[in-house]
Amino acid sequence: MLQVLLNSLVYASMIAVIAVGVALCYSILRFANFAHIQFAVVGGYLTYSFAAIPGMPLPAALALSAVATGLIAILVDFLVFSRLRDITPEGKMIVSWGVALFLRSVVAIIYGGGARVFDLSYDVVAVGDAVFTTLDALVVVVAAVLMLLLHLFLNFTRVGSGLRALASNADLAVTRGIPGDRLIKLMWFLSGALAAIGGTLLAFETRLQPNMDLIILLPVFAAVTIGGLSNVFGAVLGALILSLAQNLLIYIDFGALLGGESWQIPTQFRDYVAVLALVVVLLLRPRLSPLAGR
Amino acid sequence: MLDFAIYCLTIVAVWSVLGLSLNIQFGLTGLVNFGQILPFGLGAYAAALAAQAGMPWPAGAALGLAFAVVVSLLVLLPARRLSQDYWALITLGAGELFRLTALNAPALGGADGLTVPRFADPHLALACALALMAAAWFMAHRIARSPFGRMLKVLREDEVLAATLGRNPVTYQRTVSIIGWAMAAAAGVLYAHIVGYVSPSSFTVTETFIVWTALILGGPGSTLGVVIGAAAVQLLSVSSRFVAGWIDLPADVLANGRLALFGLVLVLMFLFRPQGLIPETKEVRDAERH
Amino acid sequence: MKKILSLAFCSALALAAVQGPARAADPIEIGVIANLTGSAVKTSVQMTRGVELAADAINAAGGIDGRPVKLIVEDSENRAQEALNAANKLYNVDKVPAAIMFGGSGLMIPVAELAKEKGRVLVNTSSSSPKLGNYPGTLFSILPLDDIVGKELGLLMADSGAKTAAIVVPNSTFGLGVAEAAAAAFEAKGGKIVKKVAFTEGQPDYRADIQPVVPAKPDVIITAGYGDDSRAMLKAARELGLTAKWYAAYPSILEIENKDFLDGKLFGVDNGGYSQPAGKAVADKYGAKFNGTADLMAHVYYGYDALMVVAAAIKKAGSAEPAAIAKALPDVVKAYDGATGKIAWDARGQRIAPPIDVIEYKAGDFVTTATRN
Repeated sequence: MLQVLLNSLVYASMIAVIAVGVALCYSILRFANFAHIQFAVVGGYLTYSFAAIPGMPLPAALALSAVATGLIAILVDFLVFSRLRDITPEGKMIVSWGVALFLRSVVAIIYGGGARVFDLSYDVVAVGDAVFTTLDALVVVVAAVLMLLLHLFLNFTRVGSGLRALASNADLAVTRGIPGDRLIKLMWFLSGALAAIGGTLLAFETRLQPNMDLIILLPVFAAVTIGGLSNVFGAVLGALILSLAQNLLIYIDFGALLGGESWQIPTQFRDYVAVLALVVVLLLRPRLSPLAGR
Repeated sequence: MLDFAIYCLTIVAVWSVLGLSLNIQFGLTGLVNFGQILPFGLGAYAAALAAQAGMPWPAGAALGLAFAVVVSLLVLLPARRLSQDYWALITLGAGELFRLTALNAPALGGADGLTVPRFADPHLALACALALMAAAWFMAHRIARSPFGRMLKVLREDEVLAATLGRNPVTYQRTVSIIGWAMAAAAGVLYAHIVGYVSPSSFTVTETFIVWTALILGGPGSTLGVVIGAAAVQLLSVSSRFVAGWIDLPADVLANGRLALFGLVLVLMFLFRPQGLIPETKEVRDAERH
Repeated sequence: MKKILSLAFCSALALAAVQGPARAADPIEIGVIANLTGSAVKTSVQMTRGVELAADAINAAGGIDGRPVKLIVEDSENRAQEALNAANKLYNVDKVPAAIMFGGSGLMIPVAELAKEKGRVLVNTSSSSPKLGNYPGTLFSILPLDDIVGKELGLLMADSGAKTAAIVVPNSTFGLGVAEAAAAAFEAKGGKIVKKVAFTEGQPDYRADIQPVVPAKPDVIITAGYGDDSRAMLKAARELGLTAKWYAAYPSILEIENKDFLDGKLFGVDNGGYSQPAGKAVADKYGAKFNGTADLMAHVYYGYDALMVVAAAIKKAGSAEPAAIAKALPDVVKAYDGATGKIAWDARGQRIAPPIDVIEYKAGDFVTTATRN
């Protein structure tokens, strides 16, 4: 059981760092940005490239990648989304898919379709029956610190409250003299940088491949939806709930529960949880932002 | 060469039906279906299952349409009354669930897939595909011109207005989904018989977005545009293979370049020509009357 | 409308047709279909390189009766639709008599259907689905069926004194086929399967999948798999602290994630050809052409043999007509001793009774400890 909690925590950490960016973007620009998840993949690859520079320590490579991906996000907004502010949310969503497809293919052209892995050394720690690695611990700590910093930034700085004002009522915020355009750029930078860090953490734990975004797409969006789409910290909570539900589902021995032979749900059905979570949340909270952003 | 052209035309016709189906959902009604591959896959698998059970193809076709209608209602159940971002996520998820199920259920053949009796004559396959495309075209055209279709457009532009006109958006969305999904399922049945085989690898998210690229390129709301879009996408897809023979680029770079181009097309169309290559003809007079 | 479409197609395709019909002195064109993009790229590239090495060897020796071999490589994106597009182009436009393909059964079977309809040859280097036996005279497999390798693996486990085993395989035809045959042989010898995990390929991490194996405490683990997925699988097992010994079908295609973790703990049965002189010679050629053998995988050998037997069949038949190739193929393989050993086909063109090496992983190397067949 402890193992389930540990696994859930590690998985949730990686998903959460990526998911908050989706929520941040949704809260201000009111559309579900599929390209965001590809930013995470781009960030992972950039960290990989920066780390390959001789003498470059890994944390520095990660920081560089975060900055670069943040700038890429601003660039994408400048080239594409800023010119489409007035179209419907679903239109933006389709465009964001086009951006994701483009980025994914460009990554595949540059790096090839095969997987890349970070060669990290770490230790395995045993706690009773459960095990985790020092890398797991690092991932969880980094994610927690990031979330804490983001919380402090959004709630206790002038710029942060500007962002929140923009999210709750953009028109009012701009009339009150809040520099909307600059804050939107900041939002893109933040979410791009967060995506890069989340993507790199994911790559540390697993591997890099250009179509990684398709694999984590459903969990990330399920996490954001559980949290209420435009709620940044709801997304974190959503990631935790989803991850726990997914790991519990495959852990419980349903056969033994029903008094029969041992039978567990095959792990590949984990993604059902993500989709079912989406559906259940929508059924339970039908008034959750219907016609949001219109 | 002629055989190849026949094959390509057949595929274009099948994908046009998928595009037309998406068009009455999105182009006319504004429903964002990111799981368009699901009804297509349902049709294909129904054809395969019926064939496995020794049933003739019409049974498979009927089964496919029935599956699509039932599943569309199931998916709609939670998705109704939701904003389109949720609708998109739910349909995307439903499509992936279907693929996962097919991949992991031994009864559906798993990764190995199922074999289906194949058209012996490619000309017959082409004729059937063109006939289905013509039927879908006719239907889409009729819907667009009917009072029902005009109401769909009102719904697309302004749900609140539609509601104040005393029309329940959910009823309309349901009808459109059923028609659209049945259309895509019919394309799936045909596709299974053309290819002679179904497997989960044919029904990925990527396929859905290839249909979307065709729709956005051709022009959402425009029947002719969708068919042109489907043709252009397939042409782009096969012609890049010939380009590979002329210029000395690695095959993987070229294939990724093609996908990048699809992405770029989606973005550029939205930026510079959101009405598509063949814009929808707006019926100003009718719109004013409402 | 139809006219516009036909026009658009014909104008584009006519450009491609200017090459004209083949003449006797022209090169013999052979198609290659592989997943050069999408997932499972590495293994496909390896197979393609094997075919290239064979083409180099044939052309360096003056070609087939004076005609050089020319490869036309097409990408299948690991999608059935694109595999069909590729095959249609190869068979209908390039008019190749034979194509060599790397891809799962989901891609291979539709292409086999097309090849059968067109009366062409398809050589399978990657899929071991029993369904591929439905195309005798069209499809020929260089990769052996899984049951023999699986059975030998099960017997090897029983011989080692293991009493309990867990299965950890991808839920592909290959993984499940090996697992089923190995488990049957193991259980027939009194062994017990205590846990079965079949994971979906292409996932980045398998820790949660392999988790349930830990409390089952098996003596040994049956596995199969290759490339990135096998690496992720082994990583998860190591992190979970599994100490059981691993018994793998084709251990050399596993991507070893951590040498120390598997040192002296990985056993398996592999094709017996690679360790023979013919196989070693191919490895040397690979090293010379592609900067060393560090990334060499067994798929190279299958690709190499695929083109070699097709070339031998063309030479023997004295013709590059597909029907002649299909007729000559079963004959020429009898005398062929290739990179994957001697090839024996059943009446369906499926490879049976491959030579088997028993292998142990020691100090970063695969060591052959016994030979069967």
